[in-house]
Amino acid sequence: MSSMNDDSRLVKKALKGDRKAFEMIILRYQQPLVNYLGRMTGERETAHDFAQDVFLKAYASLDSYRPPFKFSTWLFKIASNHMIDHWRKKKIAAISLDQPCGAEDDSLRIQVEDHELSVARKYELAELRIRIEKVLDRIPDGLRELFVLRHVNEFSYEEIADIKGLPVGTVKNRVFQAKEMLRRQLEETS
Amino acid sequence: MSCLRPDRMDLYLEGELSEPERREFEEHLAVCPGCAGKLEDRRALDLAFSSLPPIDVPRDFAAAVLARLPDIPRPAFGWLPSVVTGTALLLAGLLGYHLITGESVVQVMLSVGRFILGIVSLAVPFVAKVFKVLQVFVKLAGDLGAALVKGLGVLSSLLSPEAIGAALLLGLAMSVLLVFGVRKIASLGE
Repeated sequence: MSSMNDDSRLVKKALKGDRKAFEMIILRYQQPLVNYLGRMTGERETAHDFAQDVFLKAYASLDSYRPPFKFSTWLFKIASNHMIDHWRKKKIAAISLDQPCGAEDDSLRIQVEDHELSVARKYELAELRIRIEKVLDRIPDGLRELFVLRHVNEFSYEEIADIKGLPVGTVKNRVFQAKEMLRRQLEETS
Repeated sequence: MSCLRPDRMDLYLEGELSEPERREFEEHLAVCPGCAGKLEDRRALDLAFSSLPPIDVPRDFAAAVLARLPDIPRPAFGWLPSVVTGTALLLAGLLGYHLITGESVVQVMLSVGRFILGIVSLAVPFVAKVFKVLQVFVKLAGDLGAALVKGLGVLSSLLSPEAIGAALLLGLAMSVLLVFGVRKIASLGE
């Protein structure tokens, strides 16, 4: 809560032309933003460029930020839209966020039961992390994004729902689908 | 209860189950080694998912963003609307008063001026006196506090721990007696 107040205070100052205040905002959010964009693009340099673009977009529309909402949620909404624009330009077959992601819940559950794996037991934690990074880009963008927001950026399901404009239940289902896909990928590459 | 669904296991690990659901879940875990093993696998994988290493952010990242920031365009005469509105309201008020009472506008302005001057001439000495009293009070309280701390320090160095305890008890007893005494006197007064 104090962080929220702090963010609002910094935004107010930045709006009055205080660049130091905006620098504080950048320093606070550069790491989570680069973590998110890095996992979404799969390229470190692109992630840095995109993070710069996102901060510039945020600065340009700073007066549209309303303090009752969390600044992090607002910023990641801009970042998410930036990614969508990027996919559109690259004409990547990104999953439409208005449609279910392939498997429906029930059919997925059946698959999951068949694929109940124990990948975690096969690898040490460090090796497992490396393997996860390698297979992360094999899952559809829409699912990967929700997975990253939840497990890398540690947003709550409610916050992700707010960022993506989706119902909380849908977010929970899709994060679960993403994890099951990752689990299968890990098993296939073992 | 039948065996646990994988999506329920995920929600359990993330603390997203309700209290009754969690209890029922744990009751099943206690009697089903198969589900307990699968849950441990998921826990280990979740740990890996949530502990992916951060992506490096260049040291000069914030400076690079700041260098690209445009100036926020601010109106050169931002104060002008407030001044114009204030003046317009004042004129409207004077005109309204003139129309209602029939008094000349100059007369009304003189009366208002005299009224404001009267308030200021009363308020300034009063505020100055309050400020002076507060200053004296703060100085007195500071000196008293310092003397008290010093006295207690000297006392504690002279007395044994038992004697300090006894003195504290005596002080407490005297405070209680004082409170009861005051209450008694107050009730006699009634």
